[in-house]
Amino acid sequence: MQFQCPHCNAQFETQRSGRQFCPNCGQQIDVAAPPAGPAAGAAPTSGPGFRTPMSGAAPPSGGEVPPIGPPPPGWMPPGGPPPTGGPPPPRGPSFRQDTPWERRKELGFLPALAETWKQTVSSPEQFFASVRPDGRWEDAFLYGWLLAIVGFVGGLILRIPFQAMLAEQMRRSLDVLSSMRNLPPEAQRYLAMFIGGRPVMQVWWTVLQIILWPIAMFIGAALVHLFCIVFGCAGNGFWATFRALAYAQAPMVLAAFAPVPCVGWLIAFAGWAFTVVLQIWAVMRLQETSAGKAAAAVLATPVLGCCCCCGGGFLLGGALKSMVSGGS
Amino acid sequence: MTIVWPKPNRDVGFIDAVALTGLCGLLVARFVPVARLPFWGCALRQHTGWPCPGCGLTRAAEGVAHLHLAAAWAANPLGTLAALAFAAAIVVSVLHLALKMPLPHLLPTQREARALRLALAAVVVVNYAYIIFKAKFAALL
Repeated sequence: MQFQCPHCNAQFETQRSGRQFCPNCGQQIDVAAPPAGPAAGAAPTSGPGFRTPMSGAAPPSGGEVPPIGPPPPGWMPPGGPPPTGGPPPPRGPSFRQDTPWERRKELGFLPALAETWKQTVSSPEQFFASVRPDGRWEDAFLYGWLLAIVGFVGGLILRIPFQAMLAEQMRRSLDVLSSMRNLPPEAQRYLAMFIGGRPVMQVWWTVLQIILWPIAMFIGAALVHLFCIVFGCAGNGFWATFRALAYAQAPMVLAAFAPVPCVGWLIAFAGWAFTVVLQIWAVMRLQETSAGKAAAAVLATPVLGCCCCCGGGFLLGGALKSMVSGGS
Repeated sequence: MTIVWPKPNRDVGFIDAVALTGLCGLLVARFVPVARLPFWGCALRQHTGWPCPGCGLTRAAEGVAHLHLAAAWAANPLGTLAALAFAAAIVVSVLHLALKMPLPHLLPTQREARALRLALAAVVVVNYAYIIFKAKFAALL
């Protein structure tokens, strides 16, 4: 049915009635049921502004939007996860609130961080169903960045006891890889210097990772949102995708265990795989779309990337095989 | 399709993130010999001789980054268009952030959006057919 946004007067088509976001201005609106007329029944709420898919400033943070009228002064969202019981609405939940991290001034910095991480990992359905798509992207960004820093620094600390062994493994890998392709001498020199195992180089690499993470986050969100548009699941705008991906970073702290021999890479891989699952879950809930579309949007970029560099899997497999056979 | 023009602003948004993606990608394509990295290459093509839909994307990006558009087009036409779109996003983002140029909101109807998706899918298929034809039946050209 056709509906006209009472805020920006833009007309758009929607398949359902009830509370949703205008695809143009991002304001939360109530679409009346079909018998009320195709373009009537809009009951604007006083929810915070919401960025459009193309641009938009960060809206002021606020609590949950009450059904009618502005919240009373001093109103705070209820604490804890949203109530459970019963299936969620067919087109996504409408119970949204600030995450514990977004209430860190009230809860305290570390408790809010820990509580958000715990909810993300232990009850993702409840958590992502309650995250507001129109919240401040800066909060989600800071949360993801802090977890990334924890992971990078933790990995650096865990790498120290296994430094010599890891450096030897990397050297042998480089030898195998260099024999397969003619690497430019400069590239060989830089790679050798990087994997040489010098602690200073490892520290610099960690610092570089911390600095580059925000850029990677924006690039990843842009690509996923691009595919969200392609697959028709970008209704809540770019920053909803961004917040989904940032909050889904929680399991990546497990990547810190990657340097631990034998089981480290398994733990890191499990963390990465869980992150991908959470990203799909988060996009599904924050963009209020189906699991299939969310999975397609999230997985399209790595699948496309695999087309370019999946040969690396075979080469690395060959390198590992050579190392194992050489070591036995 | 409805086009809405907001007031002039410098609000960071999706186009700016796309521009950042394009900038990083084109800088890498310009200054890093990606195709010579040990792990780079299409496993499907290496093992079966048949290209994948993404074959030629690296060369297309390198071609656009070096302004060798003909070579880029020959490698992957759709990849070339995508790289040019990323380059355009960089220009638009700079104008938006520097001069407060407003970015229009494009609001296609559901029918238009479906038609656009179908057109995109068709373009991907045609592009893949071209890549296969060029890789397997180049002698016929």
